[in-house]
Amino acid sequence: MKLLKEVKTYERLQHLMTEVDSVNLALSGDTSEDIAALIEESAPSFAPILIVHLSNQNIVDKESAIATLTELTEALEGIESLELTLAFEPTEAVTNTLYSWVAENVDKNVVLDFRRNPSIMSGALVSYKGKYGDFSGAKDLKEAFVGLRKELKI
Amino acid sequence: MNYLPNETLFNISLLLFLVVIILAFAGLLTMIYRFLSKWITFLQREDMAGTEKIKNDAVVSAQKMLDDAREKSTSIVSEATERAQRTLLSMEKLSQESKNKLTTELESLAENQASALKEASSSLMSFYKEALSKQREESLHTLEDTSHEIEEELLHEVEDFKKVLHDETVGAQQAVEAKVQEKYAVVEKEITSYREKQLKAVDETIYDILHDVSKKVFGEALDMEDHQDLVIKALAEAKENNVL
Repeated sequence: MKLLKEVKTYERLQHLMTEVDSVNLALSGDTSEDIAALIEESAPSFAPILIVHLSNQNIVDKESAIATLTELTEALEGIESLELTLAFEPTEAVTNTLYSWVAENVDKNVVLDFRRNPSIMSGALVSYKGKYGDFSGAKDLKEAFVGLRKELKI
Repeated sequence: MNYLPNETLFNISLLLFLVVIILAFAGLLTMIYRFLSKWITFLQREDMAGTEKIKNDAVVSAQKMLDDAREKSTSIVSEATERAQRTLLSMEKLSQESKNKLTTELESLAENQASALKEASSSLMSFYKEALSKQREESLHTLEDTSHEIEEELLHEVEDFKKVLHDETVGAQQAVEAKVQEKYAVVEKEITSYREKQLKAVDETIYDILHDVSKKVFGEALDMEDHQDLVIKALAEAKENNVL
């Protein structure tokens, strides 16, 4: 699903799901037959992507659009979230690089849920499917400090 | 004035004299009895006072008592005699013959009394000496036995005292050692606890300093690309550790 490539972060995924729900609601309640207009009105951020998504599947009527978007919602709900706590605010370039790495090495059906904590200094705290790991620079520093203290026998 | 016959007066006088004599003798016997009672009590009280002292005191006391008794008896007899003589002289009708006879009788009685007293004194002295000798031997035996018992008792007491002293000393030493060990353990525990607490505080302080310094250093030294590389490295590590 090409559309999912446009959604790389958890925040953006939530935003997309909210707008899809709004579109579905608009399609169900409005009597207008102009689907594109309804989408643009209900999903200001993701309208182009959603219109392309429906166009690629030759959707022209409201019922089919609703069905397709409902399937899309179900697909979005099935996307896993990988929580990454970083010491810095990632740029879009960094986000893209990290997403590519995760899609290639972990799973393509994953979005990144960024959290920020400067005290970890570098690296990341990783939480995924109930598992957690501290791979931060702060942890390395602490281990190095403990090792040094043992070595000095303080 | 002569209302009674001479013979009757004489008999009365004689009877009075005899009564006086008997009373005097009874008084003497009473004194002797008292003296003996006092002497026995004295001997009992002076049991451990020393043989020589007992002997000397006994002899002196006995002699003194005897002299006193003798003097008193003589005095009583003399007084009785004088009274009798006065009584006799007061009787105007008493015949010279009766007087002479009475005088003779009185002298005889006095002599007999003196003789009896002398004999009594002699037998009393013998009795005293015998009793004294016996008492001295008994005292010596008692003294020896008592000395031996006292010696044994003292030795026993000394042994007991030594044992108690030893037990008390050892017990006190052990109690002190136990107390010291107990206090030492408590202090050692407190020191260990304090040391760990202080080390932890030092650790935290040093770590905080290092952390702050590192954060500043990393924040300034690492650019976005470096951070990105470190995050990718962390992700790879997570995958290796099956977190991903």
